[in-house]
Amino acid sequence: MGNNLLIQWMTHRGEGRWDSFRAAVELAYENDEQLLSPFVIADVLSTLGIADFFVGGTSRWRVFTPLLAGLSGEREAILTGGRTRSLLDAAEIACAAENVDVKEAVTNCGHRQYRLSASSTEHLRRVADQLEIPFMDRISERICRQVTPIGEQIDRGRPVAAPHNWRVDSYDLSANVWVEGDLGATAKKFTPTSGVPRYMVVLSDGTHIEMERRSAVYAAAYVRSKPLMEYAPAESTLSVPFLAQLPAELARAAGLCGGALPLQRQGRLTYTGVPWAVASMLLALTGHSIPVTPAEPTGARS
Amino acid sequence: MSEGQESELIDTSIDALSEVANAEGTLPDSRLGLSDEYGRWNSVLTEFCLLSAQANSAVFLSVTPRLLAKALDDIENVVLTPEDAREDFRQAVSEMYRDAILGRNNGIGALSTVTSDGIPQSVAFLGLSVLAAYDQTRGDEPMGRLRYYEPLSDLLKCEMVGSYPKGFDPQQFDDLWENLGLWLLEKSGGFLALPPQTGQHTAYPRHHALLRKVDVEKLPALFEARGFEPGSHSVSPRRLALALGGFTRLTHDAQQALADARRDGVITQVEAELESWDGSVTDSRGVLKASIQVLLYFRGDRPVLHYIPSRPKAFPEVFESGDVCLEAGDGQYYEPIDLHPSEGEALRSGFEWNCGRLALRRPACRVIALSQAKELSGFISQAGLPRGVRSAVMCIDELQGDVTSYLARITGRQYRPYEDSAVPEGWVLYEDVVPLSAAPPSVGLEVLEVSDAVTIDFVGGLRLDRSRTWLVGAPPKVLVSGPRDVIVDIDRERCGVVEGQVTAPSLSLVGSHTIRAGRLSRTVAVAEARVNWETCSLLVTDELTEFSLVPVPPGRWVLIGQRPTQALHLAPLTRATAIRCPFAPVWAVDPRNDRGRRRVICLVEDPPSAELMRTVVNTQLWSSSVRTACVHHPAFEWLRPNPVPKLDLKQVWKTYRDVAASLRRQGRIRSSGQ
Repeated sequence: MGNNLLIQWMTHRGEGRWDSFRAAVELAYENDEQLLSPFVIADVLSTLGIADFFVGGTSRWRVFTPLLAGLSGEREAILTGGRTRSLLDAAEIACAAENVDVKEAVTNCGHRQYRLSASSTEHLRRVADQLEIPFMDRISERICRQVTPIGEQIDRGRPVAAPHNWRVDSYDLSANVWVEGDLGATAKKFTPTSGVPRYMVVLSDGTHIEMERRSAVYAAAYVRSKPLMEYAPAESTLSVPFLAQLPAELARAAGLCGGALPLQRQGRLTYTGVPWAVASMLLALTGHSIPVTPAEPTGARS
Repeated sequence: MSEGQESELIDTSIDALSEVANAEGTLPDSRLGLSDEYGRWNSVLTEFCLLSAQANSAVFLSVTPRLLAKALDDIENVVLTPEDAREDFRQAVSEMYRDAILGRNNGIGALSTVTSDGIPQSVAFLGLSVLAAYDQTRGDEPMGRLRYYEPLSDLLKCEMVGSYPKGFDPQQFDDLWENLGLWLLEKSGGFLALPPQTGQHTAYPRHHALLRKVDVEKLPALFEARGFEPGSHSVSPRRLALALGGFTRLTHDAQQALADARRDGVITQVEAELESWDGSVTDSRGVLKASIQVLLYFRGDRPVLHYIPSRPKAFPEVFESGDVCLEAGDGQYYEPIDLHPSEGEALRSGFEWNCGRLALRRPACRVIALSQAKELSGFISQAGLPRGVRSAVMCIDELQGDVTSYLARITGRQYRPYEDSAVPEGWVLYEDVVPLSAAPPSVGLEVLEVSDAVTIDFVGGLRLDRSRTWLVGAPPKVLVSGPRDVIVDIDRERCGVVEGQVTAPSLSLVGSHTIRAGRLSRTVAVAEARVNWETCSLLVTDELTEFSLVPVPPGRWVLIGQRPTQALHLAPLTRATAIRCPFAPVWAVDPRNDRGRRRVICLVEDPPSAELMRTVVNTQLWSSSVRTACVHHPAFEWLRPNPVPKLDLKQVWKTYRDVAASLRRQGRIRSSGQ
């Protein structure tokens, strides 16, 4: 109940700042048994394409417009973006009219997801038409197309001065944890005595580039050529270290392949149902090596 | 006001108004056909200023911009800034004056008629006349010598004719006031405040103006000096009166108003100013300061304490001061920041953060009253404790005895401080404080004085916008403070109240609801959510759909597509990256023309055959790349972890080789033809 109320409220407001979201989470979930951190809920909503958080490195959040998003497995889609009671009611009616199966699933974080299965993409498109919202197939590939590669983000980044007298934490790329202190050329977190922290990636020459937290970690890994992402083609799974979560758009692209949240396995977050077409883009966007296989069967090289 | 003064006021009112009633009989019942906008303000001011006043006290039509905004918010649930409310009001009245008075050659006496709701049509016009007196700012010169009518004509947007605004009759003006007083007496038994009999026609508006703008602008300095926190609405009238009495910066007229029968009206006006105060004040050095309040909420059973700095309009989105970096939140605050347990001494002695000509200040304090925050969830530091409503208190260790004793007097309960490591060192916290009676606080505990004011507040729920509209299924809690015997109803159905919280099942229904507590009323709306198309953003933007995003390994490459016009020469890559390509590439071809095999990587799972084209224009790069690779015996690869089974890349590549050869022949034929 809390989840639907929260999303309806966000849909009406359209946008806001972190403090209003945090307060809304507490109010929406106050009667629920599960007491989840607002950060966890924000992560869920972001990964499943409901809203964007920390837009442009600020504390702002913004809801996405309602959209029927086609998953990588064709003929399946989920409802992303804002939602209202009338939209959900209309979806039920439209699906019944088009003989599309709609299931409401509740994730372990309490998020309610609406998954549609049809005999063809055309049926999904017609449902979207009835709801007067767009339908986009292969949503993950489309999301990847609008992401700036991490190398380009670094090249375009504006050098800034490191804050003085702020506490410094560094991302240890060997252990994949944040540690206190300055470790040189890596991702860093500068925390003031009071207020919001700032994140930067430090290049080999000492240049500091300000970035969003997760992007800073991947930028550091890019600079140091340290792989974080792993793809298992046999299982179609993509995994990253738990403390090196993908930047929001990439996490969204990975999550919306199968329309599911990542699983926690052995210290890593694993996204399932990720086809090679999307995985290759995610690897390339973050500067990871891409496997190349000879056409003659003599083994893979990259 | 003393009892004697009050009694004298009431007697004077009855005598004067009875005289008018006897002379003129009952009020006429014709209609002027006034605009909806004027009618709306007329109705709002009648409800807010005249009919909601406390019983047995003088009634003032003391119109100020802040009162106009508050009246519109409380009565109609419409949110405007004071400046916008003032302009909206002025425009409505001036247009009425132009159309109904000047346009139809009616005298202003025609406004003494009543509306179809039985309300005199003069209220908004008379309110504007009070606003003209409020606006007058010629230093501290007593109002008696100021020119009144020119500012009034400015507000009415009409010219002056002689000494008065065009169409204005001073005698009819007096009559309107007197008729209004008569109507109020008949309607509700209320007594419209009467000015001293000076013979001046401006006596009424000046009498009702109470504190003028020039005095109101000085109030923030008083609030700050007295440690009143912004938004406080539970400061006792007694404490406010004491503060005002000692404030020598007020004009002579203001001090006169405090000394005479208007005192209660002035205090009510100052209460409203304090409740709306954003915490900002300019000090003697010209530095604009805003306040930092304390916010308390509970996560489960554990208290969580934050500083919550105000953010007035003049303050930036990001406030940086040394090792402090604050980001704007929604509404009128910066994002809350942790109040660490180690900060007990700073909380006690106060501190200030400076950023150029701006400053955020937490004053020194030893006791903090925390009552329900309106726009935030939790309890926020405010002066005073509301009667009958759950609050919290913090104090330094040394005052624990005094505070415990005081709390016992006002609540009838024995309190023990709440023990938790989150409470700052040197401080204690008392939760679940519900004052049931007022008692004089001892010296140093003035901030805990209990207020008997009847208030209606809405906390929690999921508020949809700045007006009082909540999402259906997530209504607010309704809190009513005040004496125990105050009767509360929602939509005219009486409701129970427990520890200030009203049982409100009707708020689960979509629609508009009116909550009444005594003479006070508030309207709230409960509504379904709608998609905010203007502010939502797109999950995927359309503009990039014509591009393909292609993963490419390190090396030198030409990307080629199915058609001979589709070729893109890339700069050398030292590592894998993603390239935006204006077409759907099929192959990445090593373009070098020296010795050795050339890599040709298939970029797609199902490579299409090459497309033969009749034109040779813009095909040079494509065909030369294919030919060069063919000459150097291409080594075919897949850009994927496993090859695609049963698909022979050589066969597909052959079609590209054939098309390239065809293009070369066409080019030769064309050259020889030229």
